[in-house]
Amino acid sequence: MHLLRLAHGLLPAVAILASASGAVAQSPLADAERSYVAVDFDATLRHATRALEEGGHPPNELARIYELIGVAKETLRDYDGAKAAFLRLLALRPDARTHEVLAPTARGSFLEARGFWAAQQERLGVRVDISSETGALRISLSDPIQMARRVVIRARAPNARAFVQTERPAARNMSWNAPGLEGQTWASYILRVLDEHGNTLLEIGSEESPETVGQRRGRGEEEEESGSIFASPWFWIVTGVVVAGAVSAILYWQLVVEQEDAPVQEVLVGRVRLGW
Amino acid sequence: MTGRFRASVMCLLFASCIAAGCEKDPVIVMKEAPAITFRLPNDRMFRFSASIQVTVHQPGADWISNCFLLKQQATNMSFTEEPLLDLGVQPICDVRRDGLVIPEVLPGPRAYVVQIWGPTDRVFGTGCQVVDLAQKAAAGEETQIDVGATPVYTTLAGSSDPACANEAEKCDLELSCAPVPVGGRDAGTDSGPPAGDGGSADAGAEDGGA
Repeated sequence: MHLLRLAHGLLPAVAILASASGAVAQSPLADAERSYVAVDFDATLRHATRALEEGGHPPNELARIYELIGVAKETLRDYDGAKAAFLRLLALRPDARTHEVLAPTARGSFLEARGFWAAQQERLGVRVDISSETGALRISLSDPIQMARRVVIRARAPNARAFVQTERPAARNMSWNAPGLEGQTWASYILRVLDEHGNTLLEIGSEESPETVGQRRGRGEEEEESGSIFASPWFWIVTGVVVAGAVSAILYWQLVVEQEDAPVQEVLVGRVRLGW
Repeated sequence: MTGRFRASVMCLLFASCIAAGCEKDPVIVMKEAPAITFRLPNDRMFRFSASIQVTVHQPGADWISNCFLLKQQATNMSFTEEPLLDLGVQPICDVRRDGLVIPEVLPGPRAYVVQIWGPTDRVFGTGCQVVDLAQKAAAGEETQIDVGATPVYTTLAGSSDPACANEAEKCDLELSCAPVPVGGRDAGTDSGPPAGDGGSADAGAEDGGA
């Protein structure tokens, strides 16, 4: 009954994924999807685990792998394993709604995993900035459940054609003095965060569309500004005072003067009751 | 970018900010629509049941057959289309005591579907009706949707009674309401609508029965 119930709920999603997986037929992930359609959770778990370990999956596929592992483990009553998989799924896809296709009593591990993330201050993420003095790239990695193992960064100085690359163990704070970036205030970069199997957890930028970091400032522009009004501290002080005054006036106007005749927007809430 | 051009952009942004600030923000007023009451056939089904799940769906062109299909899907524990709103599986005693809030009533006619869950993931009852709650709110009318028993429940109720005697024992004292052989304690009857018959007196929108 339990298995049938799961199969009922999951069939629409599985049908879509199964058709999409035609392009990668015979891959462990495709095998896992097929086993899932056949409601064979032992095989689903086996193939999904093999897909995970073969590595090389982008974040969306990796999230699906963890979803398959989580549902299979939940069904096979390995609740700790299911929760661990769902934690990883939610790290990669925070808006996952797997619980909607699970039977009410099979939702526990997923909801616990969601509760864990709801209580976290940080999520899986990465921030890159550039030192305006040295041109060093500074990478800050946030990884509350320690999924990341390696970080691959490729960077390119302004006007340079080729990227230079480094790969290093994942750490909360990393710094890289990339060749050619010395003294630069901005750069293009591509960054990938990999797990222990070489699957991609995070991907920023691509060959076709690299991400940029820092501020593009031409030398001529800097010289022009040094002699302009913007270089004067008085300009910024006066501007600051004017802006602060304007903001105060707007707030006063909105909070005090306009409250009485502001348009009213009604939001209708409903209530369900139970009787007999 | 020249300094003069940048100054012009800044002035423009500043003026935009002031203009935007002068727009009046609407005052949001929460208004509660008249309640939807899901009516179980009797308190016996309530005592047997563990949880309740209310979902809101987009109705098709044929409201009656649409509700019929939704109730079939509710009985089979799988909706073919994602609900517009899912209030989640809630303990039945909590809903009986406090009700359940629909955070935002979607305008227009919607199919309101209820599943009554037994303690072992079986659907004991379903109900459905297409209602325009906003219109009902304007008219000040309450909505009642009958819950029909499923075959699973009918079989169970025919052969056993809930161990608890009443709502207070189930919800306040938290005594077991596990099925015991017929002839045990019972305070209700099973004369409610049959499975799939969740209609009510609402004009034309209710389910036509299974």
